[in-house]
Amino acid sequence: MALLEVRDLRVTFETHHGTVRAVDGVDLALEPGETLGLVGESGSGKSMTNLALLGLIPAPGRVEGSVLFEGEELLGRSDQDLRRIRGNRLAMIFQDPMTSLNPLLTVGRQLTEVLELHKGLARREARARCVQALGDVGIPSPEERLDQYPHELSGGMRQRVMIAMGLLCEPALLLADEPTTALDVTIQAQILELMQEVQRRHGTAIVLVTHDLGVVAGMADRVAVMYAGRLVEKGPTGPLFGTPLHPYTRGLLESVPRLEGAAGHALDSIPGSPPDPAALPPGCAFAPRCPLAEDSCRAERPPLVDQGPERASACPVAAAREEGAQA
Amino acid sequence: MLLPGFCLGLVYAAYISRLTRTGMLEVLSQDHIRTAYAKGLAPRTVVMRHALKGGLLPVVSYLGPATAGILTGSLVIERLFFIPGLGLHFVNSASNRDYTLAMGVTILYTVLVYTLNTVVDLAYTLLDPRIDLAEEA
Ligand SMILES: Nc1ncnc2c1ncn2[C@@H]1O[C@H](COP(=O)(O)OP(=O)(O)O)[C@@H](O)[C@H]1O
Ligand SMILES: [Mg+2]
Repeated sequence: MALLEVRDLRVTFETHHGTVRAVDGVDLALEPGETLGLVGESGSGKSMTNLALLGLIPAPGRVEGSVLFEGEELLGRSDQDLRRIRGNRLAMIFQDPMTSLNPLLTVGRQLTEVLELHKGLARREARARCVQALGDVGIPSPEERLDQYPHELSGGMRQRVMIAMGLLCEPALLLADEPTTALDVTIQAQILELMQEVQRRHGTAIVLVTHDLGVVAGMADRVAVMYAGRLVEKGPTGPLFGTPLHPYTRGLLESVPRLEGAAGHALDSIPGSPPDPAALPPGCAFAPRCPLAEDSCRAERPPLVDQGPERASACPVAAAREEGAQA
Repeated sequence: MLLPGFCLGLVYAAYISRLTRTGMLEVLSQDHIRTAYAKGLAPRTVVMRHALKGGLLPVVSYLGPATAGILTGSLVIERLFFIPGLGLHFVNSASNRDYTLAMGVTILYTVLVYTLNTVVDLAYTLLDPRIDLAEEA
């Protein structure tokens, strides 16, 4: 049985400018211990997808669809039921470790409360477990760290604290929303390595949200590419990076800097910018920026269609060309 | 005694409740509140443990100026309601040209305002660990 099965997930906001479809019919599945990379430009709905799983979409957002987690439907459950799952079986860590920790409480207090809540531990036992948890994520002299405040730690240390916090109850699934975006490159690599190690040790499944394809290439088993609230392509990491099917994925891959690239070779970034989510074009949302766009693309939004083993893409034009080339 | 107290305090009470409201709203919209909910904490715990302290910071820093305001306000209030307090003494001493008394009361007021402001500043460092008075000096 899949650990997580998301079907036709929709998150909408009614605003003065119209209905914003932040997430617009997303399907995802995740097996235990697996890593799914969720990539896309900023504003494409990655964070909203994750928050919807936890039932934490801010008001006035509306969530529809189905989220099966460990065989249970999460959407429409009472807040009380969800609170037992949050931070326990399903944990989330956030992008900016500077602002995502409470500046007025000690690191120890912010960690122990999780164990007190979900495991019913007394403060003293919880503290002992937290010392161990901080040690596990490579934080030196964890005992002292517990009595420090977040501002006394470096960015990398704070993100380690976040990760330790997320893993305290050994969740089955960890939602990591851009866990390394706010960190510099060397620290980034350390944190990713740490996450992989933790995953091996605990068998935690991870949804890794990022706009950095380099991060995904090294970590994810499978990748889902998101654009304007929809998945435009998904598939196993290797094949998806080797032969991207959707022009948006190709664009993303071409804009990644490469070491072996010829000096002076300009990075191809995708022209234009993502569409206004309150005023999406009627057809494919990527059509205005797409080199392959045809009239049919602008008329109707192409669905995500299976293409080959475990792969799917929402670009019929690219698929037709591929077939034409093979014939 | 009820009415004068009311007249003196009402403006400050209103302002403090407004400060509390804006302070709490501000804190509740911060990122770390989302983290607290993501841990599975109940809304009541999130507000009491994670938001209240930060939300009250602006109130605490307002307490200094507020006490100064209340002390000066008492000059007028005591006169209006004929309460034989320090404020009334001060006003009378001024109109009777009793310089010694006027100076004495002025010094007393100065010391009071000074001390209360210092106490507020010290309380602030207790609430917010990011503020280190020794370092700023
Ligand atoms: N409160 C809100 N009201 C209206 N739109 C919102 C609100 N919150 C988020 N959105 C919209 O949701 C979209 C997706 O946001 P998000 O999931 O944070 O993107 P990502 O994480 O991929 O950068 C954004 O385009 C934004 O406009
Ligand atoms: Mg985001």
